[in-house]
Amino acid sequence: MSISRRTALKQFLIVAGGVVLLPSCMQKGDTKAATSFKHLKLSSGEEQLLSELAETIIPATNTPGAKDLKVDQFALRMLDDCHSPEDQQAFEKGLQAFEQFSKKQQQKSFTELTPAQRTALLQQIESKKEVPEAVTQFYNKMKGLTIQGYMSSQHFLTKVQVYELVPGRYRGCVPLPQEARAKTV
Amino acid sequence: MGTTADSTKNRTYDAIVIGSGISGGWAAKELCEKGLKTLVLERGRDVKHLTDYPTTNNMPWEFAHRGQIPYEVQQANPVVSKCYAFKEDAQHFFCKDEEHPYVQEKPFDWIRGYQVGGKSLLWARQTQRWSEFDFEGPARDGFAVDWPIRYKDIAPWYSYVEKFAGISGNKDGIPQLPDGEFLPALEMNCVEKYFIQNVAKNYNDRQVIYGRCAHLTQPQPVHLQQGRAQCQKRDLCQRGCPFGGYFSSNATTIPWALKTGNMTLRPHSVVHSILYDEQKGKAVGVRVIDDTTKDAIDFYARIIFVNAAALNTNLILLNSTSKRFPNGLGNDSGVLGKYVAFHNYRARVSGVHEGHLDSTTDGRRPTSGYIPRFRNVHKQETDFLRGYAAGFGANRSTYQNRDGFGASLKENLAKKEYGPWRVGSHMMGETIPKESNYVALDGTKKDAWDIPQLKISMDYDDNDEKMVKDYQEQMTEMFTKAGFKEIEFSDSKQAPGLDIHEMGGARMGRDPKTSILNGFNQMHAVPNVFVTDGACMTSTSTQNPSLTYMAFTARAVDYAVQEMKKGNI
Repeated sequence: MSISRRTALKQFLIVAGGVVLLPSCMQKGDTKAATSFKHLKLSSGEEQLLSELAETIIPATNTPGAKDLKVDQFALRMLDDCHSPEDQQAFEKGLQAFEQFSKKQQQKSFTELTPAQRTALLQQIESKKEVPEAVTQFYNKMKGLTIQGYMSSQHFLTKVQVYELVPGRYRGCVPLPQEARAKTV
Repeated sequence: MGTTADSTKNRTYDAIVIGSGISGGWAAKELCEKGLKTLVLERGRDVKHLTDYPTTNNMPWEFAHRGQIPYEVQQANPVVSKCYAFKEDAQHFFCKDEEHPYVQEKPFDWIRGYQVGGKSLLWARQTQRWSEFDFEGPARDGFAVDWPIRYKDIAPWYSYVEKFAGISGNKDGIPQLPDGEFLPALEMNCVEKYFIQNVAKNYNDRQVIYGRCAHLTQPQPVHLQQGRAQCQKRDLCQRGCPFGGYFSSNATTIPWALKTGNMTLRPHSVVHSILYDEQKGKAVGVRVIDDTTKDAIDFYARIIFVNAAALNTNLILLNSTSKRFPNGLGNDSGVLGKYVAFHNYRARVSGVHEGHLDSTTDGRRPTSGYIPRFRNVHKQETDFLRGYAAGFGANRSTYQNRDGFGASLKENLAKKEYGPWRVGSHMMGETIPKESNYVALDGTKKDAWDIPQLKISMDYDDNDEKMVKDYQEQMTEMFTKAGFKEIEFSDSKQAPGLDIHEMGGARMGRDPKTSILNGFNQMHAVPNVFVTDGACMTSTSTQNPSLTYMAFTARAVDYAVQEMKKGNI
């Protein structure tokens, strides 16, 4: 694409929406991705459900949870940008199956459940007892992305397990931390 | 195209270097230092050290996809997407398949870096010397043609480039992997040390050593003069290093050449062909397609160094036709484009070490262990020719308990759990150059610059298959003797190319009837043209080749300038 065409396109996007709707891969880390998917077909209700699910997997405690860290948005960005159409469709279907499962087990949409009911539902899914395969697959995918987003968040890598951009050292043999030692040796 | 005398004069230099990667950067530095006004042509954009490394200081969370390449980009670029380093942090340094098509007569994954610095920004920085056993290989074993040089011819030039580039290593005293001018080695970890000792105990002919690499572990004055600093063990080299901790053209040779005042760097210059003058009986210049204007522009010089990277150098030479050379520049022998080869990187052996559970590593390390070739070194002893080297590394595995959800999951994720040490090895096999492995110009397909596309036809053969099997057996035996468990062999069956060690096509040799270049990388038939990148290679041996290209280049420039002074070219 020529520079002038790129510039023109940018201007068009600004004019068209009042906001720049650039694809999310051009955005950095934690920017808002809501409702501008390229491929995923999700209603705002479904989007909300996924946020609540991410928050149930990694809840705010005395430290930030999935929503605080925009892990829900990360998960959707990964699904939208980095998954095949087949995987995306399977996810969308799995989401519907999950919602049906919630209604069957708890008589309500997941979003309307109390925290205790949400916990009960996820416990049942984790137990894998009488859980439809589509629900398990959907849940595992969402859990995997939530964990990935959480563990690569600024909070996690600066406050929980500190990531060093510039280690400046390599030591080939150091004793294991004491608590880990007791467990493995 | 300018026609006035002034315009021609403005486009005339003492020397032209085609390409700014590892070997082109060296050609530029050496020519400029010797006082030649040098034009360096680079087909891609400029990448300036420090300022053009956009991701170099990014934290992991600053990558929208945490490193992963989006699905649509992968679909559009299936070849480069196979490369281990094509990730979100370095994707801008890789050439995209869809923009630069080529013809795969047989599957070949061609990985390219089209920018100033070329692949020197992306390389794995392993720098092992060749030995006498490598240079005498084809003559002893009866394949390809005899190398026109021996180890003693290149040894001083290895020293010369090693001192400037900065190579970290140990003096290991291994005949088939000669020692060099080393900066201190980084540490091997406890399990690697254990394996080193175990192999030494069990084998007389095998060693495991620290992989020599182009990292400044202890910068010397010449490195500080380059503006480079000590390697900080970030292990994020592919992004471009803000410390200049590893060797790249961008951090090292290009700025050095620029400082002489003799270099003109011209990015966005796609070389179409080398211009041959029938009357003068030599090359007179280079035709470039300006990538910005799409205009053809001719540049002139007394000597030309071709360093476009192995296969693109072949393409340029094949596309440089004239009445005298209808089949490509210097191609009297008809071997141009033929006898290309690569390294066989298909096989891996991995395992688990159950000991040393009270230890781990700390920090990061940008290299690992290396097992020099031990097969058929002193004499032929197997049912296949030549042999393989191998990488070796150990690391303490860690994981998190991911069971459940909620507050307990959060607590579990905060705790690093330690699994066993994992050990792994990968094969780097020599392949035999054959006439049936070749590159040629495609008869019909052209690229965006109206230059014929390159057709690539390379494959493994029976010798390679036998070697993979032997690697599997020998490495499994070495791992078994070391007591490693869960030993697993895998063969990726990957196509040639992903090794990114394609070589040959304009090989060196003693006889103009069977080779393109002489012992100084000089064209037999066009003495003012030199080829010092991978295209010059007569055989491949097992070592990562870049260090050898650097040494060839410095040596060839020294020779070329002497010949110019004598009036021979």
